[in-house]
Amino acid sequence: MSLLEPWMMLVVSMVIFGIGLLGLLIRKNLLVMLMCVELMLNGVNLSFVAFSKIHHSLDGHLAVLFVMTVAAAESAVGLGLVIALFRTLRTVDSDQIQILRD
Amino acid sequence: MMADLEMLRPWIFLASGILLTLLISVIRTESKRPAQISALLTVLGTAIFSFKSPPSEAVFLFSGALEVSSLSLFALGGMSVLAAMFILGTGHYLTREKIHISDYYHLLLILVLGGSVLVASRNLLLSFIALEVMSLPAYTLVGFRRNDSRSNEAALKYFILGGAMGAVFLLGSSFIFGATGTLDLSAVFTESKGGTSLLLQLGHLLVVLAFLFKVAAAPLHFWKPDVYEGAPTPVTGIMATIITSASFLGLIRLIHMIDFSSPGTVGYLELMKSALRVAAIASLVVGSSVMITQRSLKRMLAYSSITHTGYLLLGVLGAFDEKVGITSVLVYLLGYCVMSTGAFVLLTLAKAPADTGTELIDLTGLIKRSPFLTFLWTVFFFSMAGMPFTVGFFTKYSVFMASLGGGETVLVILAAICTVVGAYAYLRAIALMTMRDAAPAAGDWEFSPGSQIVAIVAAGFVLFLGIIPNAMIQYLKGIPLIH
Repeated sequence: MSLLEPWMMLVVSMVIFGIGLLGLLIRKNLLVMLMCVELMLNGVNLSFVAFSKIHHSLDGHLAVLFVMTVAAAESAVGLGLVIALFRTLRTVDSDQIQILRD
Repeated sequence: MMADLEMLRPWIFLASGILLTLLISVIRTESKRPAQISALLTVLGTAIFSFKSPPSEAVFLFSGALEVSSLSLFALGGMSVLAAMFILGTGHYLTREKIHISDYYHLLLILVLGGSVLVASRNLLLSFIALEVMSLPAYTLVGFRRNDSRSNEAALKYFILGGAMGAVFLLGSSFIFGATGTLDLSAVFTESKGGTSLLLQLGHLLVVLAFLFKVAAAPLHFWKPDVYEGAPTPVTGIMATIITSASFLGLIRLIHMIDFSSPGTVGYLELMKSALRVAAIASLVVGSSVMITQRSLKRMLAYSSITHTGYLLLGVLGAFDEKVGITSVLVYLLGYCVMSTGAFVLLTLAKAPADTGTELIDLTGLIKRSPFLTFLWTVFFFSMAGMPFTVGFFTKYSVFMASLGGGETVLVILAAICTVVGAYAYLRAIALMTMRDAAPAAGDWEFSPGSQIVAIVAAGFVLFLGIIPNAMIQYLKGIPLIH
């Protein structure tokens, strides 16, 4: 019996995903929201590894590598958008960015 | 192995074209014309390759991850044609808004590549990557007017929500992987023959949720009007056509990855159907009721496309009963893409000031200023309202029939009521053009040969398919969803 059971990893991964989701919903700083999206992706990564361990399959590990690549590309695009927004509006507070509405 | 590469020819051509366009835009930074021509030739070549030799049966490549079938090639060809129409028809808008730079074109091509792989994918990991390859260029294209805070806000809104829904998609995939031990969709199909576990159902629901967000079905539609309004108009059109069709075809593929004919899935089938029913009803009601209150033409078209999502979901609900449904969804998507392309290309002609966007008031008295534009707008508005002799009538008719076949009588009656409510908005816009004098605040409309041609072609298709729909329906009937 190993010290680290897969279900423990799953619990941790769901907690990380939950923190990311919660942070996305309650935090107002765009940079923090960006980090929360990354946190959600990393939480899922951990769950892929845990399921991989359960099924003795390498597919999950492979998925993690691809997801990390995509997450890196995504954060590059996201940071670019935040910088462009900061240039025009001089703020990264999502409460003050409400030009578009019905 | 050579035969495999032969099958992939359209995708390889598209990918090479992307690299060439990227190379050109790096070398020739001062002129956008070479990149534009390269992108146009790329999409036209891709369309020719994908329509030229449709395979008689599906071929699965890369350990079954990619499906080369009549459906995936039809999607690739269709998206390439749509991209070509937007490249041809919207250059003047980019020049006017001072965002006509060559980077626009390879981003657009990457978006088409992602969307077409999303339709062809039979593996959840490949689907996720394709979804992101489609979405990342879309985020940047939405924020392309980078000195305009509205464009920036729209891009960031789309990015944060899209990124979060991408994570939800991935969480669902991970649950499916946990339940079945594989990310291969056909294996999931086999696995679910004996019934579905709770983990599989939860994962499946999360993935479907992420797709419902991408197609902006209510109650996950709230981002759509804002993003549509803030984005440059050609990009709005590309989102309304290419991204919507790719996401819808991906959604149908995912829904059918569970074998609903097996007795163990009856409870889950009902759950899935009621979730889609709620989304369809909400999209129809929200879309058509909010549409009639809009003053901005672009927002009105955004709510109109939410309504169209509702009708498409009717077709998806009908698709649970075998092949009638998928044909009706394809018919609807084709008609919807043609009329949306025309409408958004026309919209790029409006010389609205950047801080207000295109208002409905810009349409007033258009018949005196430009009878021809009025005629084109009338064709597209009639088609969106579902009037006879336009393609919009037959697309609505076919999803209603498919949905009735699936036993959704109440839903179809509700959809018919929403059609009437929605028709009021379109007819009001037509009345503004023909019966009113131009308001003092009404914006001018530009003249541009490229977009006139594209709009005429689109209007021609709307009328041709509306009067002679049989050829289209017969052709689309030959495209099966599942092999």
